[in-house]
Amino acid sequence: MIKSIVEIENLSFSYPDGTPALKNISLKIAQGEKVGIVGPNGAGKSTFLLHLNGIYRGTGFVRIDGLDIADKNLSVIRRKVGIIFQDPDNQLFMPTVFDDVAFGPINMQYDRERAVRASEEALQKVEMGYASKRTSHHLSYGEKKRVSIATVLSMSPELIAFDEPTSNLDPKARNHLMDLINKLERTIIIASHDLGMIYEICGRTMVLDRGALVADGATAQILADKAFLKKHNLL
Amino acid sequence: MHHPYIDKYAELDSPIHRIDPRVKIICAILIILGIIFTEPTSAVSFICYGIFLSILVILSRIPVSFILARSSVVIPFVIMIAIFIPFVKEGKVAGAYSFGTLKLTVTYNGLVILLNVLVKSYLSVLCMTVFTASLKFSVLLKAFERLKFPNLLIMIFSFMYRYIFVVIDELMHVKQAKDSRTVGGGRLSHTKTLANVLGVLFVRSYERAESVYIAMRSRGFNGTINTLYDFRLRVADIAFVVIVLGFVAIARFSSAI
Repeated sequence: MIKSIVEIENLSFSYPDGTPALKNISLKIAQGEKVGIVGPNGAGKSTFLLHLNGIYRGTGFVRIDGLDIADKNLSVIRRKVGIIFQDPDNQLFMPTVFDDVAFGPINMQYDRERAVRASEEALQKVEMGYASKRTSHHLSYGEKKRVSIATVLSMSPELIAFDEPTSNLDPKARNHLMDLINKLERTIIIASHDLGMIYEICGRTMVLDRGALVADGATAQILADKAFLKKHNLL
Repeated sequence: MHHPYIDKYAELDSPIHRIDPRVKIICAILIILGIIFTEPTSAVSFICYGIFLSILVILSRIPVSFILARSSVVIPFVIMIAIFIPFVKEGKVAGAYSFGTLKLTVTYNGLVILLNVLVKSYLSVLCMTVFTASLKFSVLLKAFERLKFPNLLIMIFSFMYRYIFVVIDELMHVKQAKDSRTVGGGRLSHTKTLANVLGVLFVRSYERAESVYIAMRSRGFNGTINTLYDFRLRVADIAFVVIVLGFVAIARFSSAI
């Protein structure tokens, strides 16, 4: 049996002002699975992703690779779970591209040589090796997105979660990014309302609406149900 | 959007560019200290510094117009602060003016000090401009980090440099959106919207800071930022320090003549 990398039971979360964001979510994601999370704006997709590495803590259980989300496990969990945020300007905060990619490995106490190697490999994988000394505000939007992926790849996580990876990209950059994601041999979770991308990359899809998990199944099946998609503002 | 970068000419190749960044910082501090401790009346020393810095500018191959534009930015600020000195300093009176009941006297002593402040501050800024324009900003920060400057301060500068362009872009976007919807109206109403624009910018920056912090924690940030260095001291760097020290001594000595 393939082991579950994510196990969530009865997860609920409300923002400090009382707005409920996630309602009683239970799910399991197996290692190597590619899962799409779709839902209209404000459905709780980003909030859900931030529960995967313990930035937000709701009630209920979240277990990553058998580890509970608890203070003592956080550093291990953040190494296992890489999150790529929607706005690359938030993901890239260091003065140079290389420093950004090396930020994770250095925090993980890699020695110098290993940190440099991991960062260079990650930049090669996203085909951004030529930009390592540049400052990120000199990069194009598509390049920033690719470097964002490298910042997480350099930590060799087991699970990579993307928040709207294709937003604001032109068709060429979008295809390029989708190719990159397809080549990543890892467990992947993509939160998006780009249904075309979800269809191409993810075998399994979950639908979130107003914080509740309203569907979980094969992507082809869910995306074929036009009435259902319309009902949840996805079409 | 296009921005004027302070390290626009950092990629050139010249003897000045090749100096180790840490050596540049130390030499800049040495020269500035030399300038500050020069007697106000020793014009020869100031000329020496001027010539030396000009040589550095020429060696660096950075366009002189760029250096002049960058270094003269400071002059208005210095004038604003120093302009009152001739009026309040005591000594031999150079001229007295009265405006109704208000009487103003200008002293020679005060004028010398005003000139001294202007020359010293300009030379110091010129010195900093030459050295920093030949360095990438990120490398400059690393050099400071390596020289054991407070980490918190370096982090603040680093984030400022990373996000100032992002904030400027946001300001431009908000301004364009505002201009697209502004038809007519007096200056006063425009000023009022400006206050709102600033408010919006503040909120956005605050929220961005929050998001950046989340992104940092997601990658294992625990309070200190560490980066990898790649600096190596060469013989030429030591030689440069010796030249600078020798020069500061000469400038000092020349004032005694």
